[in-house]
Amino acid sequence: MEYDVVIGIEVHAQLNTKTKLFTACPSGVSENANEHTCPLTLGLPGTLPVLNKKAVEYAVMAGTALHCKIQKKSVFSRKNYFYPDLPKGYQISQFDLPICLGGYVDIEVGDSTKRIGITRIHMEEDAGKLVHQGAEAIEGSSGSLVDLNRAGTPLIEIVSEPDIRSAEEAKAYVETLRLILVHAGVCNGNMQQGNLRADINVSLRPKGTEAFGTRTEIKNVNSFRAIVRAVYSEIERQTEILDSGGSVDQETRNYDDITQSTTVLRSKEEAHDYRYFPEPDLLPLVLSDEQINRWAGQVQENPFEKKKRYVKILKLSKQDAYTLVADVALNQFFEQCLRHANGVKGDTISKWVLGDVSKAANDVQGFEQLQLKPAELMALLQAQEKGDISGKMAKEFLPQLIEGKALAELLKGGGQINDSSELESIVQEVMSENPDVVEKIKNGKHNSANFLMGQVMKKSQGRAKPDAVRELILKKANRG
Amino acid sequence: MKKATESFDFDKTCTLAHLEVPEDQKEAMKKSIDDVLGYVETLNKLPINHLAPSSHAAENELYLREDKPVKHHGLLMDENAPDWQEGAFWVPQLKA
Amino acid sequence: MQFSSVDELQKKLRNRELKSTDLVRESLATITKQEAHFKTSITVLKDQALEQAQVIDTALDKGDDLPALAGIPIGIKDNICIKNTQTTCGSRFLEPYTSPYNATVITKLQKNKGVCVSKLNLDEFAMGSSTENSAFFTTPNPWNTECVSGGSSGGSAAAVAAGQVPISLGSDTGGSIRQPAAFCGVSGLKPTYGRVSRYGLVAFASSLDQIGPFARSVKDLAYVLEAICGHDVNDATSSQAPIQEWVNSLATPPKKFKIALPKQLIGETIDEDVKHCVLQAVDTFKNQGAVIEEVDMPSLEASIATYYIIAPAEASANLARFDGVRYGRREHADTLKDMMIKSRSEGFGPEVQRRILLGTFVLSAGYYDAYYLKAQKARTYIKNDFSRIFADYDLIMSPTTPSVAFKKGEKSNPLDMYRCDLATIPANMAGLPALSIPCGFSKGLPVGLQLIAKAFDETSVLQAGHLYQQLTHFHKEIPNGV
Ligand SMILES: [Mg+2]
Ligand SMILES: [Zn+2]
Repeated sequence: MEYDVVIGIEVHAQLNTKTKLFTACPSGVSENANEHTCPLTLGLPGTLPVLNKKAVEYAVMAGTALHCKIQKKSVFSRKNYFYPDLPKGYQISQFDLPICLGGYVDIEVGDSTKRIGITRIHMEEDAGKLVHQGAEAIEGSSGSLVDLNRAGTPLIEIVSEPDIRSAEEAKAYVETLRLILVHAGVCNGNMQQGNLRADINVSLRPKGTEAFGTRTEIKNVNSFRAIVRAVYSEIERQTEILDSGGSVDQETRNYDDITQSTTVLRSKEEAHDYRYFPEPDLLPLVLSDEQINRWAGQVQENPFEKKKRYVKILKLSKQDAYTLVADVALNQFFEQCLRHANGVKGDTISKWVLGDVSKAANDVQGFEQLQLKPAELMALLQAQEKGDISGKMAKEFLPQLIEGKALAELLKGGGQINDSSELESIVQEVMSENPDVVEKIKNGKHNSANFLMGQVMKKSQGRAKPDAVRELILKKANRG
Repeated sequence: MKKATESFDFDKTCTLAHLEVPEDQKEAMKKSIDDVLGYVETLNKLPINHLAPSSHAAENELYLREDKPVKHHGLLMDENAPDWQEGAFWVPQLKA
Repeated sequence: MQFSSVDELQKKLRNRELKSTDLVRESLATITKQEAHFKTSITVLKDQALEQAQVIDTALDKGDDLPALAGIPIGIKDNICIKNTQTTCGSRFLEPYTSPYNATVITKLQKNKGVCVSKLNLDEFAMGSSTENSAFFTTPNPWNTECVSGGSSGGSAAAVAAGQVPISLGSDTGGSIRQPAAFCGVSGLKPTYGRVSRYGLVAFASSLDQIGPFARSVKDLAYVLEAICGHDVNDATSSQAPIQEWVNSLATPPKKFKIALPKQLIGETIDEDVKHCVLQAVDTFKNQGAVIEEVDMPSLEASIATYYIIAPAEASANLARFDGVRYGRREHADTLKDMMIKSRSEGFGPEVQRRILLGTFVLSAGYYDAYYLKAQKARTYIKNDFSRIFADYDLIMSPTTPSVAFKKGEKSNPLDMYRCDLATIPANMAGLPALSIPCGFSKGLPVGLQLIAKAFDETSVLQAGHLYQQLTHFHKEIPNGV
């Protein structure tokens, strides 16, 4: 039988705050186990959660970027279950009153755009990590080491509507979401490091029918490639079950990227009874309109609107436009350049930023580390545009600019020779050194001028304007 | 309201709570909880269905903290840990 | 110096008639001497207390101007964390645990130069009304060692009653300060919820718990309250409400109070002797010009049922952290889950287990609305009832407990025990300040009078309590044999 695929995705994104969600202990990676801990992170008796304002700000910004309605009142609840990576025996999360409701994301698959609904975004704390001993995974392990560095890291969980219909759309959705969050500056978006994690709910229904089939939830999908593979393998598995007359069990499955298949993690019978109830240690989070507007106002144009603008107004190719938004630091650099363009065309800037500047950035691990001011690059390009320097010279100046030399210095020491007497004396020198070539030119072999030009360029260290040199040589040869 | 004394599943509740009551104390424990659940049924007679639930004594404004890291020292992790290995808390295997 | 007031001690310490080290030594000696008949302390902090006293003596010798509590010995309920000190909560589970941090109230007492001398007995995790649920021992009543000291802060009340310390701290979730204060004939205050930081108080029921002082007089309670109250950045529920100068407020004669006497708390559930003492107190206030009227507060009858849903529900989550992974007791088992189950089952006593199970059940799928949600609505009902009364009255007066201290082992049925919290639980439900002061004796055991005010009006309960103590001698009585 033919089936429609129905996919809904829950994305957990770590907010890049300096401290954890409910304690001032540092957030982020750490070299040693249990280094980023404090009495609260350790779940010590007597400790109390105190909400990080920045995390709320970031959640509001994420909601704004995803077109959600920010809730003036939201409530934290306790989600109760025992696990060694959960030090308090409950996770503080939001349940019936989350901070954001009802948004959407537009994704592009092939040439078409599709809108994926977002049901809600809620704030919660991350769990710690377990290192299983004597085995790759829980299975066959003799014991585990509990590291609580990650415990309490602020997360937002973004829950999509079941609007996704294929593995490709699933991938595009997570990619788009990631880019929006990274652009909003609220998440680092590194999937390998677990900054962003997707749980994928997959179900099938006979083509053309309305009712949803039984879904399974796939956990532990931590790359874009894995999303596609995991969804394919789950579609295949469910198709086989349904085709053979069986029924899919509602369960949680674990994706293994090595075998590229999913295995059962928890059956419906084993499903937890989380016993949610309002967190008594935290009063409801109430935000004023003024506060929400201030935070929402910090969200810039989203990367996909930006991309459209680059294609439409700057006349860039779709591919270049995408590359210009895919890396946030690169994009910020590019946007700064546009601000200082002063007549330099967008496609010229794009060519430079994606070309030589990107190469230089790669050598220093990215644009964040690049010691080049966008304004200086633009001054360089303006000099080229005005004809003060050649394209070749501009290319040669770039590494020196990055090294910290001032453009004005570079231009002074060796900008293009505008002084005609200086140029004339070099040309004269070269011509007197090569009387035979001059003779050839006199005899009409104008191509021979190229050799002399090369000599002049050499002597002037490339500072001579080629057109002017050629003109001067021809004039002198024919005159003399 | 379901009649508590009929619906209270003692073993399931123990599993959820990660507790194990010795066989010879189970009946007494179950009965004492049944008694309380029976007693709290008096709430059904109150004119409260229209009221909003209170999770807190007072409805003050929630205090929010600035995002400034503080490093903690002397946490006694190793001293308090039942089994401290390689700077971490060792626990037995998760599955048999 | 046994049974001296803070004022007396303060004066003698300042004019150097008395050394803090001697005072602390006396306190430690009394604790040790009385160990055989009324044991109050789980841990005695001998070395660190003497060390602190030494430092304070040096400062006092130099003539430094130190805070009111400087050099005075203080007892601390053993569910309040002191850095690098065992904090057992009266539980086998936490017996091996050392707290690496100070509770905010401890930090504040240290700033006020108070000297913590002992960690006091309690019902395990503050769940109980007699200290019989302590995993270690039962603290008897100094007035009659066959009777209980009350609970859960029985150790804190008995230590003050027996003259081991002039002041102590306890915690009150459903009456755990006021009931033992009443049983032991001392004064005890449960401040408004949010008045005192809960950071470092091992949580029982987070929306109800509040730390408060025990002392031999209302004035001494005021000294301690001033020292420990205030907003705390480590407790998001702690209030930013302005702090009052409570000690000074006692000097200005209180206005003529308008006091409500709820008929539900003076009815047939209350022992005749207790009722008699309370009605005498009513007359005492009336003679001072107070207007006292009987009122109907129907919600009060719902408070025990409400409490025994909400408190266990919160406790079931609060005690989930005791899983044997990071600290506390660990029983050996082959799998993680068995390790957790065994550690908890061996580590917790029956009353704690009962409340965890009760709380787990009322939150579980399919029962939340029938129990927890209903209890939260009942809580609103109780709060509304108080608001209605406080629109017309300054204070609500009642007996603290329906009877005087009961005999050890007398209340073996948990529900019977729970029912005795009738008068104290409502103030926790609504987060109100409530005071218990001695107002007489029955069969040689003290009777407690309770005064409740509106939120953050500690001033009214303290002023009324102080006024009463100016006119009566009950708070000055000392048990035989101490
Ligand atoms: Mg989820
Ligand atoms: Zn989540």
